[in-house]
Amino acid sequence: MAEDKIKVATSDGGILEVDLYIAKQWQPVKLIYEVLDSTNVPENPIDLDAISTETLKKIIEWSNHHKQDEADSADNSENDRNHGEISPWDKTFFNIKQEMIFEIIVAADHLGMTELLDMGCKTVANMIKGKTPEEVRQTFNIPNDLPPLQTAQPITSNENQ
Amino acid sequence: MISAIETLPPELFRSIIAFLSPEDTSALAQTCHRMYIITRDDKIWQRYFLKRYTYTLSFPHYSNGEYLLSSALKTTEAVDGCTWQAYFAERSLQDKHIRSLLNEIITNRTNRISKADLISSKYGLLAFDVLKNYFSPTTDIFKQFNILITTATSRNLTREYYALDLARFISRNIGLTLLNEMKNQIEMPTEGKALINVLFIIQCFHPHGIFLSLNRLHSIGQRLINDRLFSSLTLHEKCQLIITTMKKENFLPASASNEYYDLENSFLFSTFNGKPTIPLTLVSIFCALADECGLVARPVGFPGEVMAQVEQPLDSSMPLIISVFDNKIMSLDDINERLANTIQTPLTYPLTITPMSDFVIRSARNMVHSIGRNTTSSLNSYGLYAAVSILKILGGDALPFAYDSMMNVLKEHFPMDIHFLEMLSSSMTNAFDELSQIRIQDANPLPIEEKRRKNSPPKFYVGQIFQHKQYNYWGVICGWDLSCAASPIWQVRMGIPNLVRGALQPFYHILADDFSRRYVAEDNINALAFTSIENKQDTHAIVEKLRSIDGIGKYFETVDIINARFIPNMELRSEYPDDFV
Repeated sequence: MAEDKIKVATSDGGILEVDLYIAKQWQPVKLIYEVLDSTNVPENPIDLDAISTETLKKIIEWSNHHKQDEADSADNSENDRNHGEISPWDKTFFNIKQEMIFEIIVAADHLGMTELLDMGCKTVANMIKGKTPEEVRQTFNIPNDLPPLQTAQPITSNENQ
Repeated sequence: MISAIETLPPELFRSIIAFLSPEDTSALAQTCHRMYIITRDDKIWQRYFLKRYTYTLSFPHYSNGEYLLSSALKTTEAVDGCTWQAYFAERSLQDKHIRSLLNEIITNRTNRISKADLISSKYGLLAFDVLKNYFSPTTDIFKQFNILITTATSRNLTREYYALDLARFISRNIGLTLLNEMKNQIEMPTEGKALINVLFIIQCFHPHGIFLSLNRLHSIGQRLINDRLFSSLTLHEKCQLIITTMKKENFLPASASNEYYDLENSFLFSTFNGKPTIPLTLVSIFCALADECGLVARPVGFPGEVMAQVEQPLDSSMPLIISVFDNKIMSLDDINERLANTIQTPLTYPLTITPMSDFVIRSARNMVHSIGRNTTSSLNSYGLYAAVSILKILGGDALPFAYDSMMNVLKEHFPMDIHFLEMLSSSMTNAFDELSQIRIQDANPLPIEEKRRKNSPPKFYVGQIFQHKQYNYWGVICGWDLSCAASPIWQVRMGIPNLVRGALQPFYHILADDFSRRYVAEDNINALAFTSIENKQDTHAIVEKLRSIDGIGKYFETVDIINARFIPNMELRSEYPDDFV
């Protein structure tokens, strides 16, 4: 059964083969299986629009690594969610371009992969933690479009006004 | 040009913000316009608020329908049309103020009392949300707050001490205010939660103060009512069930006379921690639980006894009288038989309702009695404070002890409570002068008298851990005199003349591992004992015990286990400048 594979189509025209076991954890795929009510592999590739090939490859990579985790922590998932530290493997996994991290977050949300979503959000949160607004802007290349009033430090008492 | 992060939809931002602290979210808000808008989602700030703050009122309202303090605990709505974000920002500012006042109190002897007063009167309960972050991890209060424990090395004992001291001070002030409110109330209800709320006021004077939660009674009550069979029980059976439940929940009657007259029985804290207690307390719990179950019960006071009176729904002229203490339903004859020696005429229905103030005064008398029986209990000063407050505010008996000795105890243990001491001495003008002296000194403290090591210095120094040669207890030195400074009477009583060097040797002020304060001759101090212990677990155990002494932070900041010493805080160092090198 681990041999069963399924074809999925990405937003930029790519077609990937995925283990059925992994694909079935994804919301859109789950939906199709529920609707069709069949255990047979559908003929046409399932369309996962809004997710690029590169992003999907990363997601499959993550799923493959965490295959064992899913089985183990099925009972503990409630408690682990917010207390889970980012594992070393996950840290390396997310050591990529910012744009890719965000695409993974959006994709994970779309596919209903809560653990991957959490890890992604935590990664971004860690990039914000402890920084001043200017440092955050620099980290993410955010242009400052706020009028001066909102960026000012609190006015100190020895200013002449 | 839009940066990559700004392409994320707002809902996903909420997921990221869920992992950020309020401070980080504020930083994010200031990066650009879009972030500013996204972070204004009030739900984010509601979450932050409820996570950080437990108290929402500086002062509890009294209402018979709920347990005291329920009014001040979490609310589900922000105040008065204010957004949670603005509410959070306002509390943060207040936190800052409280924190800076606390730091000033710790580091500066000037105006300690007036700063403490300021925190108490301006912020009241709200200050607890700041102070709780500084409590020692070993206190029971700490455990109730579920705070993450910081690493042991970063513990600052002095800060812990002052934070706790302040919290207790605020707690006592709230107790005093509530007692005054009671005095001004014309008609106080007597049924249901009335008595336990009154006992809660007394609990405010306990070292663990206001942090006791009575909500456990609500959960117990809910469990009882939700049982399908409950509504089909008769009144007798319901009362019986409540008493059985109380036993199961460890609300037990005290037995042997030592247990019975223990000062702890006057405070709810011990009862809620499983210590068997007196009729007054048991009846208060019974009436509260009865109220939770929809019954109408009120306490009735008799000489030497308190019972519960439960109204029969269809015939309120014949209530059930229950002696909760010995689990017995009493008939009128039973009661009259029991009280035969103490009352003139037998009682008849309807029994006169005992007002709440009677029970408070009864409790004060219990406390006075307990203090007299066990003069060495460390709880005595708190009990004295509570008893004196009650008797002074609600009238009743004359103050129980000689004015001077009372004032000495109170001034020593509660130096910040000037208001209270002023209230006590309001009728005595010379005492008033003494108290204004204290205020003047608070504003302009005299410089600390330095104790220097010149010729023939003492062998041991402040902070050193030692073992007593005769009695074998462990202790830490918190001060010394070059020769015995105690009164001749004390010296004779303690056998000082029998020592080799008698009174002409250095004497040390110490804190012992049985939580007492003592004055020890140099000849009796063994400072090598600690370093000669091989077993690390043993040394750690000794240090932990000493570190958990209530009040250790008044003298010391931290412990240096390797060198077997406590590190004196700034104030102690000023007094003994040569001791800390």
